[in-house]
Amino acid sequence: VKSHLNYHSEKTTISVRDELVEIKAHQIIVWVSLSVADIDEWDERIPKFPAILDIGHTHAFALTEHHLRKWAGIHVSTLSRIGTMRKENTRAPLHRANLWLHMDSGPLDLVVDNGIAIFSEDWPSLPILGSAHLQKASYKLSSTATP
Amino acid sequence: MEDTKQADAPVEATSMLVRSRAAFLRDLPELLKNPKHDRWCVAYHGDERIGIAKSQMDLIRECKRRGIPVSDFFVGCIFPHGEEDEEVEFGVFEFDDIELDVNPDVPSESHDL
Repeated sequence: VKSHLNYHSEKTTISVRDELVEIKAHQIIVWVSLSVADIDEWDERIPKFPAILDIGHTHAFALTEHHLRKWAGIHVSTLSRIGTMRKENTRAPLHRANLWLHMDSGPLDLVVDNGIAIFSEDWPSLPILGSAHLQKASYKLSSTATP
Repeated sequence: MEDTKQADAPVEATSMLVRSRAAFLRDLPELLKNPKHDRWCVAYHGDERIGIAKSQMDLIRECKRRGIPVSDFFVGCIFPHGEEDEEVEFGVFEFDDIELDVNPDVPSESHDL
């Protein structure tokens, strides 16, 4: 599965639903969707929203409750909690969901069987797609900087 | 779709979902021995293996066809999983408006993160 990604050498903004979101220079943005775990096929009505592609993040996906509610249209309380992840002595809850990565060829279901991390505070500033499930999806990417 | 699924209390994993996930992790070493199934998906309902397929969606459909509630089945991906309590590294650091030192020997007062 391949996709070509662009990033910019200066700060930019993108529109997500009714919000203008700042993208910092050199951040590679991918578009993703989240759904509850019983969705068995892609539905065009599932909202798309941006995430930072961060291959230094060793889990699958992290976002805040705010992103989840405002951009995915899902309240955290509807996603089953299946565990926690640990960063040194800090733990964050992991919830069960379906995660879709929008590729050139269409949405790809990433099978996040270890769950997604949902933070109640302000971090991360944008959702983060980590490296764990890109490997599972045999995902290959190329990127180009746009001045 | 905004806020369409509100609920009063957090949804905890059902005991059947926990059992289903445990069955997946129990069988994973054996599943990994077949290279054909590398990165395929496998679904469990309790100790019962529902099936193995390339697509998670096919397995979710099969579970629904059998009338298994979504709260009870687990779909896992066949690839080496880490330890249950493995530490995660957060890679992202965001820098705004990096201020370069005028005199490299005298650091500027602050750099915004």
